[in-house]
Amino acid sequence: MARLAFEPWGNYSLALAASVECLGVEPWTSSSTTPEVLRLGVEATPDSACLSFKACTGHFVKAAQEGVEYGAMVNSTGTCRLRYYHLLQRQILRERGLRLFVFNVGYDGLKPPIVRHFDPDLPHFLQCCLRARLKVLTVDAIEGAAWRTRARELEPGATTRVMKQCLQELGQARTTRQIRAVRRRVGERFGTVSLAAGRSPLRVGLLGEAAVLRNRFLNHNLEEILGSLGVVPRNFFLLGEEIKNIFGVGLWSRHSRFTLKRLARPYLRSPVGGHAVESVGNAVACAREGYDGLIHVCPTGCMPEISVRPIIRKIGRDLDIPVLECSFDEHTSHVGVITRVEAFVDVMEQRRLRSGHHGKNGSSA
Amino acid sequence: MTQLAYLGIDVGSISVNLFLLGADDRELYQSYRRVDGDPVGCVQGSLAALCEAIGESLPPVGGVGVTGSGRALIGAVVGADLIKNEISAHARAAVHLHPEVRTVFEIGGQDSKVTVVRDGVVVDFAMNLVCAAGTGSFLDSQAKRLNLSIEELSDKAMLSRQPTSIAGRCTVFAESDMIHKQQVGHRQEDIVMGLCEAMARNFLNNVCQGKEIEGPVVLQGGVSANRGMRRAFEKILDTRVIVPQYNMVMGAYGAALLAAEMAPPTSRFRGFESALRPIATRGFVCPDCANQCEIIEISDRQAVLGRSGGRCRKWEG
Amino acid sequence: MNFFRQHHFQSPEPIGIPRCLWYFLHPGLWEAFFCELGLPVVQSGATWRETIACAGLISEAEHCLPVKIHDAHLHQLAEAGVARVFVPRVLSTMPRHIACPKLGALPDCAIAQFGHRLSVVSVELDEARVGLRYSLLELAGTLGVRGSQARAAAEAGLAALAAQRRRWREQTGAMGEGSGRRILLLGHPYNLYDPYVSDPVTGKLRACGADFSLVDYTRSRVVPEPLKWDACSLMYNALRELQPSACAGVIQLSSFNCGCDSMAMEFYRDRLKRKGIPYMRLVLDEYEGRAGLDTRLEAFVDSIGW
Repeated sequence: MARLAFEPWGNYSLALAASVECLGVEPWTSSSTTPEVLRLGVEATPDSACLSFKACTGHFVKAAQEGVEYGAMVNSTGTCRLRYYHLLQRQILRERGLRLFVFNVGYDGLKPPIVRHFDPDLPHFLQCCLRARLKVLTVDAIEGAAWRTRARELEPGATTRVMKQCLQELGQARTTRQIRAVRRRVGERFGTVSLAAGRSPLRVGLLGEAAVLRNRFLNHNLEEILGSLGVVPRNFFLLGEEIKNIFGVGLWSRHSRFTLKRLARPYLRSPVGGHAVESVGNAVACAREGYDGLIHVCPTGCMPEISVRPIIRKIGRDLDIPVLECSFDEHTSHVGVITRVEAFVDVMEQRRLRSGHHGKNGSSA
Repeated sequence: MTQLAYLGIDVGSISVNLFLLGADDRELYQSYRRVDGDPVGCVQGSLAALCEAIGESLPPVGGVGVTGSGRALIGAVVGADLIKNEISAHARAAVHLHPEVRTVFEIGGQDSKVTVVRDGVVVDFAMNLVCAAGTGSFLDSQAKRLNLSIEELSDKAMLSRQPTSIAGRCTVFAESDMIHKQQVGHRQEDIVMGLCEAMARNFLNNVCQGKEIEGPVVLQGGVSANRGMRRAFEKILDTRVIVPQYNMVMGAYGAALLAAEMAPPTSRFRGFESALRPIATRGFVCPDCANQCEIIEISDRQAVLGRSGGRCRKWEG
Repeated sequence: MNFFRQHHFQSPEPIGIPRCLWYFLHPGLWEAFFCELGLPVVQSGATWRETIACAGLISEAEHCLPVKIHDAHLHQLAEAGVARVFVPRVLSTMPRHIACPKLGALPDCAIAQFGHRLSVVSVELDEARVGLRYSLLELAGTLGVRGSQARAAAEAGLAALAAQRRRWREQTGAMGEGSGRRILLLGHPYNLYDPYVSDPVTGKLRACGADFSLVDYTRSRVVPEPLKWDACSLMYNALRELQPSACAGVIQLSSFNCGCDSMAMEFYRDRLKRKGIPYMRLVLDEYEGRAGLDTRLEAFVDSIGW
């Protein structure tokens, strides 16, 4: 059977793999990048390209070396560099004499080239897609539970263990009924983790560029670092919501592009590209929802996210919520990330202790 | 009742600093020692020197605070009561010595950070990302190039009247530009002061971006020994820049203060004797995922003290 | 109507225009337009060393150089006591193309960073959707001017734009005109036509005795394939027609951290490699290491055998 490689999207890879299977090809992916893959990517790509591109290209190079025939790359119709990634990847692979064809997956009408090429049986294909969507929602449920429990777990690592177990079950689930069963059991599974009693933990919103937000290797495992410091993170790249946005359903939900655009409007009136508007909108929403802090995550030099950085900083000042800016590239040191996050948690804790007082910029005019 | 002492250890990438804090905030001992690739040995050497220097009059240790990039490992070796990130520790020390401070610049060998303090509380901070141009190693390498010690560099910088402007995105560019300026015939003291200004500017451009820098500023860390840097910051920022009393060991001082504040009922400190025993370290590759993290395990006579090095936090604690 | 009169009889508040970045996309247009509207225009001075130093200090570290310079110009206008500035939201400057995404966020960033000192007048420029003339009328409307005066201002602006573009073309000479093989200089207009940014390169080329022309921004037919970014696509289209017999080499002036160029240069490189034309990319940043620039230019000129 032919194989199709795609970029790792954290735990979503598992759901995406299900949708690839329904095209009648075998998926080739993992949940996160490895040092070796990143090295391959860094070697193959121009120096000034962004980290997400390097990692993704590294995957395709690795896949091609292992004899995988096809690759799939998301393609935004927006204004960001992402639009050209598949073209550049084709060029890079061609120059290196690697035979892997990269499909672009984007808004290409009802039957995008990738579907046309493999031409699966349509009713079966649609059914599989719905099943993949259900898996995405289940991943969201598992992660949500993991974020909440990890911050208060008594035995370090217990949550991660339960999470792995759930994800494994989900990976094995084939039918809709099985997936539903996994989803129902999530609460019960995480209920087995014994929790510390006490005050409610700090809550942090993770915003920014999707690939870095979702690739544990690229963001140095931010979610777990935060969890082990007793903080509940909330990752705002949610694939389920993204799918809803693409098909234009659920316009009134908290996470719809429509809502976020409306929230962002006082600060940002241009679409910019990428997930920049969503980041700004989520920053405003988080501040209103009483989050203790925001971590704005992006690859170094990311065009849309860097453009809106002064705006997010301004939101932090206006709505009085601390913001930690983290840009990642292949040289980012792990210890540095931990130190910064720990210090940020200290800042948030201090603020909570003094709440009622003026926090940030207290005495400056 | 005997007075307790509190020990602060700052394990940085370049140096290990100790600070022993007595009653009434008295300094009992401080030391600064270069790491040279062996943090455990360096800490043990520093502790041995401490015992030797103070000897019989050493009061019982009430608590130990460890900070710096090697804090997890060393914390396990000595038995720390408190393991704190260096940003918070440095800020704690600066605020303690100068309560009116509003900005703290901490420039060490490989790290540099800015901390924004309002009413004695850290409200914002930033740390250098990848570039060495805003750190002490930049100045070190340029001083070497000019055949000057840091002290000479410091004295020279104070003599300059017309600092040379030196380009410096990174050490390499700065070096080529500096050589160019030498060849054109600029005076050495002006070049030295120009270097200090280039480095201050680098720090402000890269690290302090978007932070509200307000005076008074406290400048600490290894680079603060260079008086030219203080002069450069004062010139660029046009505000008062203070170099505090324990400028070289502020991290350790802060860690000691935090430990004293915490005042654990019983300290987890393993005592000078056990801390000085040879420590066995063992490295292995974690087989659990494709990341292949190298884990370092340290043990003292078969008892595992701790592990570090993983990207996930499975091995720690 | 009454309000409109009042507005006009009071001496109108001057409007600041930063002379950088988007200014070079429509050179000459804005002064002529605002003048005709009866608004005094205050321009920031040309970019110089202090501007770059200021850019480093006040602007986000990871921005590209042109955006940093833009922040510095706004800062300069605010320091000069200007109370409002004009920053358009450029979404596209050519049919079927899009502009660099950073340009779209500029007015919002200006408000976020300078909102406490400056009010920002803005208009959306999306020439892929609506003509420039229409956007100018809209801008006049937001400033309270309508009817014939607005139309006259738009005409004056467009005429000034055309004139300035013609002047550029005459100054630099297009590729293939005149005699002999030449070097083609690629770059975004705000790099090529900002004397502070481009002079070290053009000056050095002249000193080497090299004949060069700048990429022609008056070209009208541009195919948005494979690049959809306006300036990049224009440059790529220019390279498409380039003949090795007329072109000795291509030098790209690019700014540090430019996202568009980081992608586009791979396409240029690929195209030029197939044509057998030498290509070099020069990266400019806010730290002035001019010595390296000179060496590389000399070596490039030598290598193409001048």
